[in-house]
Amino acid sequence: MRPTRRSWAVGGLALIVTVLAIVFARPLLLVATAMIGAWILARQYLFITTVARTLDSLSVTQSVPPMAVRTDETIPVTLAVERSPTTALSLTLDAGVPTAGRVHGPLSLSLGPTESTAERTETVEWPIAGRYEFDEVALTASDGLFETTVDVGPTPAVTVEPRGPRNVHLGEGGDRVAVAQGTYQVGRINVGFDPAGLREYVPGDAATNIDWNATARLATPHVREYESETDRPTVLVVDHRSALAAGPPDETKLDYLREVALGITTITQQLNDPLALVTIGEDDITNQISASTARYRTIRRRLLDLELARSETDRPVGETEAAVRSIATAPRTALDQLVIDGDTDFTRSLAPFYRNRQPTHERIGTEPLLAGIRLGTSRQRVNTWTVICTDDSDPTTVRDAVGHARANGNDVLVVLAPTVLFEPGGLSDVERAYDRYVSFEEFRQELDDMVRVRALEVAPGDRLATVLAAGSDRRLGGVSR
Amino acid sequence: MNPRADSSLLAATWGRTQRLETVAIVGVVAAFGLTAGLVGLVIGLATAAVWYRVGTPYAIAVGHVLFVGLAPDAIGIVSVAIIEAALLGLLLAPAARSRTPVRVAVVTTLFWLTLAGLAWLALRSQPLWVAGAVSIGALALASYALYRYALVTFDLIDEPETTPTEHS
Repeated sequence: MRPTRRSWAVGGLALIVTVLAIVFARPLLLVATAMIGAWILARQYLFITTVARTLDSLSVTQSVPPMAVRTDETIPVTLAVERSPTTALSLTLDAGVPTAGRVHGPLSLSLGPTESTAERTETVEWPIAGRYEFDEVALTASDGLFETTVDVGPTPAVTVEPRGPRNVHLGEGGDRVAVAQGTYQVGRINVGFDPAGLREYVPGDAATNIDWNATARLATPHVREYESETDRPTVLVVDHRSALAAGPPDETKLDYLREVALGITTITQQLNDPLALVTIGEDDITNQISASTARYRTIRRRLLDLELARSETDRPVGETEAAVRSIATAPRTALDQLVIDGDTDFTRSLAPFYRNRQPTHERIGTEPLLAGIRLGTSRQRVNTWTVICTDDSDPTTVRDAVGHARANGNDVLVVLAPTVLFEPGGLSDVERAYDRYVSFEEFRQELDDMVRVRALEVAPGDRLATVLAAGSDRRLGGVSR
Repeated sequence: MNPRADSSLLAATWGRTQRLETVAIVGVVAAFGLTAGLVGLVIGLATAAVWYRVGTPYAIAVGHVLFVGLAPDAIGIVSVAIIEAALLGLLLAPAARSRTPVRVAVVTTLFWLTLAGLAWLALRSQPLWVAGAVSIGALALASYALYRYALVTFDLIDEPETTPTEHS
């Protein structure tokens, strides 16, 4: 409780009257001092009781919408007050917005002596991720002679999440799965301690490997082979072409694939396996880090820095150069141009030839994904684990890439981002979205059925659940009919 | 009559008639006129004007000072009692507009009697300046006590932080 200037003036008046009483030797003036003092004290007492009564009847709300907030987003914050009955107190309320919140206007209220309700809403921006609890509302009550500030009202909390994918679903046909590699055995012979078997001696084998007991027992020279647990090189191929731009800001296909790639990096680091990274741009390979157990941090940083690649045609090149390039190195672009030119007999006749896929060994030079697979696996020993992170926008190329990656007995993990679950408005017609998801699932299963290939989907879990629920409803409807 | 902030009380009845206060100020003018004649009437009117312009405490101060200064011959037990009763009425009149008029009137009267009584007790054995100091000191102490009471009522007292060494 603080006295205002007016109360200090009345207190000064009491002092002056007292001084006059002493100076003029008039004790009667001390009665005036007592009367003025009684007035001050009575007003002070009355202020306290009135404020206490006001606080008992006061209803202060400080409300925020119950929704998740992303960094740099704004939410409306409402400050409201209601009192009954009215008193002669003037009330001022200041919302307890946390320091991390940036209020676009002053979030405060003033309630005059005759007013009983007031409300104000302002938008608050949250630039930093975290959980923030509002302070109580600072209520300042004043009657002109005294004022006091009391904290009242609820303290709602706001959780600000960083931008980026959330509820990442990684699985098969809507079921979540884990991607942990676990421990494994590979066929590196004669470097460990676990017996792998006996075989007949052939020229070139080291004499120290001859198992003399077996040789004596079997009458011909035999060598014993050993095998050991060893590291398995992992090649991470991450596609970041413009087709992966689909999705809301910071929740694109690329963002989800990046989450998976970062997870693979973590798993690989935990197993201390060599890890290589190849990133695929629109027209070329944009990053290539050879397999090593010392570059996890570099790879993680490259993945975090990965942005959507621009098409060569988006770059400022001359029209002639672009045209030559499109015919020479981008057959699909040339086909698209044919389609744009018109639905003529010539186009219809020629299109199947363009659609017929070229032999892979020829396409490697033109398809950056295939070139990336070749580059990533060419320097590796057998039994490389190749992880391909891409989408379903070009199934033919993905099939070729998987086929090339699983050559030489390599294991392949394909992580696909289904386009239907990322397109803006893709779920507006949920029935059609389900049909498209079924097509995607057939493609994923086709890849998954290949030997040494595992195909997974990565998508926003909530959107996938919506599509699957639509499919479930359709099936139930079919059963009931 | 326009309501004046300094003479109003904190009540839900803001703006209600100030009839009782009007009666009280008329009584003050009458009391001064009764005890000091024409001069008293002038003092009473001046007091009423000050009350109207700046409020009750200033009217009380001006009334007392003018009475002591301009009509020293009229000061006597009876006249002083009449004037003090009239001014006390002016002090208590706004209480009628509060939610709890009796309590406010009683509290105000008790405060006045306490401060005046302490001054009188001091004056019986001490010089006037000591009595004046006692009056001002008692007022300051009482105001501080109410301040502390407010802190408790509004739960504004911070818990003292205890350190581990204090527990041992």
